[in-house]
Amino acid sequence: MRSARISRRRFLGVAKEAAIGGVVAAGLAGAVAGYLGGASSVAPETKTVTETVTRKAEAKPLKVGYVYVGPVGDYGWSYGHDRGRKWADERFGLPIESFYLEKVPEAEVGGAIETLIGKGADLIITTSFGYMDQTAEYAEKYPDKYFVHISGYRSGAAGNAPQNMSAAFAEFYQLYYLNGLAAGAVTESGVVGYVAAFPIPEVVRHINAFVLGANYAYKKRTGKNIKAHVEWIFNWVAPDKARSAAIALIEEKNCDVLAFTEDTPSVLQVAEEYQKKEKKVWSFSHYSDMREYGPKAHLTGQIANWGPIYLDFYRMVSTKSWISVDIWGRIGDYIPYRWRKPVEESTAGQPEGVVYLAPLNQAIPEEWRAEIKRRYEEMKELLFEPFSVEGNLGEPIRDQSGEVRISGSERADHQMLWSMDWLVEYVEEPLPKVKEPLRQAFPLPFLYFPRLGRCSGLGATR
Amino acid sequence: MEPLVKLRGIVKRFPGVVANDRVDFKLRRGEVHALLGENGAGKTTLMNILYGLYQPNEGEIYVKGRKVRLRSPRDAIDLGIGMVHQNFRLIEPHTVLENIILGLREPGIRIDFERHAERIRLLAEKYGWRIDPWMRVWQLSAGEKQQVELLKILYRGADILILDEPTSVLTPHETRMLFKALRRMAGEGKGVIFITHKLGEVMEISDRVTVMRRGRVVVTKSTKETSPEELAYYMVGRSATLDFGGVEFAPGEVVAEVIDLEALSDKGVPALRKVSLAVRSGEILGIAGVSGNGQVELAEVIVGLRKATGGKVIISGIDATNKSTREIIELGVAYIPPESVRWGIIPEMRVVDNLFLKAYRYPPYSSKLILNWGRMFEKAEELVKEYEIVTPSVHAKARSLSGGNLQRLVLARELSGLIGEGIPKLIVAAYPTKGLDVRATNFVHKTLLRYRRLGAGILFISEDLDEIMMLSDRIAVMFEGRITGLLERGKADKEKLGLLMSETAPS
Amino acid sequence: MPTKIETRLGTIRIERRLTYSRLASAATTLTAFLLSLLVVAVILRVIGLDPARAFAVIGEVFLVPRLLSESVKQSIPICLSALGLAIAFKMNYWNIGAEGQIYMGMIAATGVVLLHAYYNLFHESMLLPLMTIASFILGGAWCLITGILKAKLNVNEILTTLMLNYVAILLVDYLVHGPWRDPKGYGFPLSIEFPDQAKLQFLFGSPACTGLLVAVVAAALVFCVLDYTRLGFEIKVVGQSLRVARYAGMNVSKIILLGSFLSGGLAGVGGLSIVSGIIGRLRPGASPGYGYTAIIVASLAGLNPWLVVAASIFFGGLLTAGGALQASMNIPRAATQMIQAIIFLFILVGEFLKRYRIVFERGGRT
Repeated sequence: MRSARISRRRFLGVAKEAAIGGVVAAGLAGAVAGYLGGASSVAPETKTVTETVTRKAEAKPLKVGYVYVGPVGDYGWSYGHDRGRKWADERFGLPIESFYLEKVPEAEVGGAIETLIGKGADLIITTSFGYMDQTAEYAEKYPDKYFVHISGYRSGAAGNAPQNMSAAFAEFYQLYYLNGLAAGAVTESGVVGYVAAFPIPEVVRHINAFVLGANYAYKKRTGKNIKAHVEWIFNWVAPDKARSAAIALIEEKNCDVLAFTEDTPSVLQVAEEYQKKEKKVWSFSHYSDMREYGPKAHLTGQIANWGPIYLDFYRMVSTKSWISVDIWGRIGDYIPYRWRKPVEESTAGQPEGVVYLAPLNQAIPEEWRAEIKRRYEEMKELLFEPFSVEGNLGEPIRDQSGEVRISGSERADHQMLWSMDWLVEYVEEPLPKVKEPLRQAFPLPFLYFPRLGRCSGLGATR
Repeated sequence: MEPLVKLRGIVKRFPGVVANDRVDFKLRRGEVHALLGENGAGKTTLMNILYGLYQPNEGEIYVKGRKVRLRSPRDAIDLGIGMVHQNFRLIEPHTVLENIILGLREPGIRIDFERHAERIRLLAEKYGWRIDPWMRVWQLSAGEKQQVELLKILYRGADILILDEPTSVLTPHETRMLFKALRRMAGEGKGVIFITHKLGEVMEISDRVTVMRRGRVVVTKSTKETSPEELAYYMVGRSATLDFGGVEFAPGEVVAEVIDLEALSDKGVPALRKVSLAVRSGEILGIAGVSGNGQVELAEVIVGLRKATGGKVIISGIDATNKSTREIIELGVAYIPPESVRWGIIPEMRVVDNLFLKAYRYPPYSSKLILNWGRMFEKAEELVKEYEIVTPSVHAKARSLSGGNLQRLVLARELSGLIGEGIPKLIVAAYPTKGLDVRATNFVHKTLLRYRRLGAGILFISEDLDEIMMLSDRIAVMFEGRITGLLERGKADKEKLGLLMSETAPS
Repeated sequence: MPTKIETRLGTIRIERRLTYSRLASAATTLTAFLLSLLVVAVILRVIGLDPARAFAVIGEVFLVPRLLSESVKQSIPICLSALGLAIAFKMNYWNIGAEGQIYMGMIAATGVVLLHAYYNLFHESMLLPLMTIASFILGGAWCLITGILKAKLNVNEILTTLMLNYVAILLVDYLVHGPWRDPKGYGFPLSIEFPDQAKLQFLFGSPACTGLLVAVVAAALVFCVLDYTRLGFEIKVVGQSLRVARYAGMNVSKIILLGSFLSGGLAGVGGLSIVSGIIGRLRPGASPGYGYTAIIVASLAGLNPWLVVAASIFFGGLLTAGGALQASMNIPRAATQMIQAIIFLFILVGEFLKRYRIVFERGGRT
């Protein structure tokens, strides 16, 4: 091959020097940028976090240690708990010292608990499901300390953990039903979407509650059944996946209201982007008030305030009146008077108790806002249950296979809600779960267990 | 007359060694100056200093009368110094032309390739070389690659040329061509420094000779005023006599035979084309030839490191074709690999580990699973003494040993009968003296002769015709994967061998 | 030929060291460690914290038995995996799949527990021995897959070991979401809780004691295998030069297969120590990257089995110290991770300087 003329750059030694210089320069620039980037992202976390509210200097303060799975700045799960911690500290009224460990991997919770006990904590609150077993283990190891585990099912009250351990959870399914009512009231396409974290009962009942609510309102408006689509992202915190799932639901499935179980405001932000492009897409708040991320698209939402629960435990420990409990905080819990109010005085949309509805968007038609408030007030006294024939316009609730799950005067009880493994008929996608053919693909007999009767009494007993 | 290069009081220290100790050196215009010394005498270090690769700890460098500091080869090149390294520094997929003008400093952004090509062709012709500038370097023979290296230097107008062991890769014919070209360059007033450890070449080509030993200059003399014997004396510090007298040729039965052997090279092209040979006990069968004509492949097929694609290998009457290396080792075959420092030694492991690289798996040095280090250390101490391996201890890492000592280590491992009973039946020695100094070479020769006396059959591969003719009972010549001739001892001379080694031979 | 960087100011050259004494080596590591503490101290001072107190908190982790026991517990899976990696790395086999092998070990251990719980096939005293064997075999088999690919098809083991990590992690996800889900666990992706006889503390009361014993025994075994067996010798030769190994008549394929199996097997037992020593059941994401940490530990320890044990405990301690620093001094988690990173970085640079030296030559180019 003869190429007579060619840029000399390809051959001259100069190029080598230039290349080395370039690499060095790029490396330096990268290092500087990395340093600055790192510095700016670290900065917000360096603020002082322990708050010591000392009212009576002579009394020994109550010491409470929290373990968070995420960073407190995540605006989601851990952030919500940290807000609850501050809320409870402020209202406790006695000397209190609380401290926390953030971003604790589930396998390392043992060390975190030991550290907190080393700091003199009387009460340890672990706030991730994955901490459950080890919390129970350390409750056994330290019988004179008190432990609260959030979102699990082991407690002294449930009989599967020592008596110095309690369980607590802020339950949203009622609020998801109200969100569903709002969704059914505003949807134009008659299709709603749900960006879901994991196919576990908690998320499944939230999807069902949301879809039942949406169907209730939509069918009452138009006479037609709602259609619902679910996108599974298999993550609690995954803004990128939530975002692409939301866009897929809007673009491919024609959804115009999106609920979600993911700890960031990503889905709401996507809805807001569409609103700005003059396409009406709606979404919600999740765990904390997220209105600022989607002032137009924010329909309503579910907000938790863990503070009252924590305050309750503070008081139990400080007054030595501890009893192990398994708290399931719903609408109306942890408010002084849970009596139903008339619609015009409803507290729906205001902070109240342990879980409450986010403010209602004025885009929801007036009569539906009233309906939502009415149901909210009714649920304070458990006068209304979403998983009932009444919650489905008088129709029995059927699952996707058409099987009737709730009929007549039945209402879902704790057992059904906490082990829900079916989706209501209006959801298009099946629940991802192990199907028989997949099991048969694994020839090993012990991979699945037909003879459950011989299970040696392990795990939960309730 | 002003010398081209003057080095004064050069000192270069490496961790634990003084590679150059107050070295003085002068290169005149128009001379071929041989730099002679054993391996590790400091010749290459000195030249690397002159070429700017190393910085001296002390001393001064004058080039053409001016005191200079050489911080990199670039500085040296700017002063007209060029060096041809032992292993070529060429980009194989590129053309000769591209290699030569790579790194050339010239104003402008376009390169006029045709003009450069023409000038390079003219330059090559001046020295009697036929080089097509448009050829890809990988297509060239070793000798031609060397010519490209020299052209690269000359094209930059260098007048101080350093050649590091330039003949080690050349055929006798190519060596003669190189010497002619070097003479011509000297005639043009250039200075040539010729690094070597071969006495014959010094006598043949050089005008003056500087002998180095252990980092110091022993003597600088005019070649005419000295003799090989004297130079050998300066090199090793004592008179080295190469005495192999009194060896009777009394071959026994055939210990190894190859019949119509065929095999492929690493590149997948035929390297052996129906080679048939037989080695008898008590004989040294020399394999002569320029490197890369199938000698290494032959050795590897015999010892089981390369698959035969045809033919047979029979060792001690047993068909050993394509048997595993281990089985062949157990048949009593010892193998001294080419470049054994690289391919037969693990520098990062201890002397004892290297000694037992093969024998570790046989009793009494190990049971089925567990190693018997006690036995191994005991035996290793013995071997270190017997083979005069200079090492701080058997625990020392092999990399701390010099090349000659490593070769002794390989000999000790292969020949001392660690495996099985008694001595090996067949010894395959591929280039066992390449790169070794006189004393180590001497030791290898003596050892091979000793095993010949003890009744081993020895397949001895070498490029050095003097060595082959001196040691071998019979000499087979290989060219392009074929045996081009088989000569009895005494009937072989250099001319005959040289013809057989090149394509001009009537085979 | 040494590596060289030419700059306008002078030349920086990196040369391989020929020798380095044991004393100098220890001194280098110590100096690197102290220097890293100095840098950490400066950084803490800059963000307004008292370095002396921070170091006291770190020191406490190794002195207070309660915390030390936690540190040791954390370090066991790291230690076992790193021991396995030491074998692989000696063989020049770049197994970066310890994480996946850990997960396979957890699957095997859980499988044995489930066999016992659901089918009652054997006495409960057999649980731990069977779990150990099963996790070793499954972890080893996971690495053996890559060994077979390497030995027979010369597939780069870095890619295969890394990619099999994801497979193993997803396999655990599948099992706990599906067939192995605790039927009484309210649908959460968890296996049943292990019975006491399947937990490490069953042996000596504390998982740390049992784990430490296991780690020391494993280190002793690895030490003996590497230094006193034919296989160990072969592994080292293969690691240094495949070509010399073939020349010496070694069956290179067989050695790679055995070595990779041992390497993965140890990581598999590391997985057992997680489910049976720390968590007490199988669940997704059970290993927070111990298999990757083990790579650092094995390198820091210079592949010496005894130093691997020490380095793992040091590492486990730093993990625990992260929490202690956070709780005592309000140092954010990110900052404690930075402290750990600085210490490792310095020690790694020290290791580099033991092998190479850097020569500066002053003066610009002419």
